[in-house]
Amino acid sequence: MIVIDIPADLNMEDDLGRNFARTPLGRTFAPGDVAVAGRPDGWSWVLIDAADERRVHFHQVSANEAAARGPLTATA
Amino acid sequence: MRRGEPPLSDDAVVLRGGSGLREDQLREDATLNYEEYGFYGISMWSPTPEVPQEALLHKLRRFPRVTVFTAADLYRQDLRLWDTGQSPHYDVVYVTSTDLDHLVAGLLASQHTVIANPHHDPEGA
Repeated sequence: MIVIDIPADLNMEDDLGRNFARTPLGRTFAPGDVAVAGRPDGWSWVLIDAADERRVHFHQVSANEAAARGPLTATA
Repeated sequence: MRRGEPPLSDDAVVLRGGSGLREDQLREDATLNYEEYGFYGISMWSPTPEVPQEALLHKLRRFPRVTVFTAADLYRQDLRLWDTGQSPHYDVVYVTSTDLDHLVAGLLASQHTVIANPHHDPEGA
């Protein structure tokens, strides 16, 4: 079962064509981090482009690309 | 920021990745849009000659199902399609763009169909 790190509407894009969402409470992300974003009816491995305590901006990547950046395991 | 394109014709196809419309999610998404851009909007997509429907369904490949409207379906509910972000992205807004309740009610009342996405690929390139 996939664990969604960043609840997000993957239809939503900023003016740069990146997806974005609220930064989940208690989570910290940095550019280059890998995560899973979306909802049960549409999710993706994503690569973080920018993040602060309010917003996280990311783009969708394949599982292979995500795995190339580190282990694909759920993180707290 | 709007792209300054002509309004979509009534028969334009409008797509939203996902298997339907949930009021709580629409409210959440529209509210996030308001916080970011100052208006309540829901992201959608409409095919263009440069990005035809099949290419758009590939772009939406993380969604196993896609919700399909026509522009007329939305216009009938006093909704408008703003050409925001990068083409072919649109924001659906109510005629008064600061009315969340009418936006959500209008979307929930809009005629639509849900189709299986033939390009669904949750983990591929």
